[in-house]
Amino acid sequence: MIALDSRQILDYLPHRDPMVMLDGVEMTVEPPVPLKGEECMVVYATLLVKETNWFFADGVLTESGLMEHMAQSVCVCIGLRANNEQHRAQIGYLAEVKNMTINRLPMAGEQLRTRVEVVALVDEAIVVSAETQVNTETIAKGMLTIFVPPVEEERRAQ
Amino acid sequence: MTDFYRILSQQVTDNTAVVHIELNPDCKVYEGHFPGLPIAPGMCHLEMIRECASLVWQQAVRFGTIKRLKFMQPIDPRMCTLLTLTLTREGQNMTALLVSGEQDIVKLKATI
Repeated sequence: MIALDSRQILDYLPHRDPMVMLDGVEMTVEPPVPLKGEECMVVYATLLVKETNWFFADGVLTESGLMEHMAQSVCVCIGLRANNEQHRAQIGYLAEVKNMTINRLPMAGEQLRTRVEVVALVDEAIVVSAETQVNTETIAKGMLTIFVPPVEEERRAQ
Repeated sequence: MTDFYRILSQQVTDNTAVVHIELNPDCKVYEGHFPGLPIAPGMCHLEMIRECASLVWQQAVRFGTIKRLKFMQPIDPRMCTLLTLTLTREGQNMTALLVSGEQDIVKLKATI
């Protein structure tokens, strides 16, 4: 189990204010589902919804804010996988969102808890299923694909 | 989203709307996305699509299901600021296509 607070997250995430959409992360390695010899990775990320959040509008955190929170959870997951310290806070690009159901939007003061599970690693793309809950209520669920370009040194070495 | 973009013009016909947009490269969001390497956040594009759809269809648009949302090309706001957004709707279904010149930037299929 790895746990990161809001300050430690910044070691694994290239985003900075006003775009940071996470305030806590826990990573577990959950059995069974092995992925090409790797253990299945599950990350839990949290966010306390505030009115000052960049994506807060009309009394709620918007769909975009919710999905940005999910996507950044994946970025931390990618950062935690990197064994080289220099590559920890790597910039990844959200490539696709699929079949994302949004049951409701969270209000200020609500605590989001998002479970991200890596379902596939294909070349430079990481595919995850993400589910966000408030208490035990699922408010959004779907699939995201993030593209992580190779870092410069690796490119040169190839 | 304060200062992320402004609407230059819009044409609305029945179920289709075309919106011409200019991004603001000095928006505060680029301080954090990313320091020294400004890239328009994909989710800011989606929020912009939602705001434009709400404006042209004169209702508070909320996404129920995002069937498919594809980001084809990251945008550096220092190089590219003019975008064209085409919105269509049929009942609860909507689509959006955001382009910069000939380049597709974002494609969306969703229910509202």
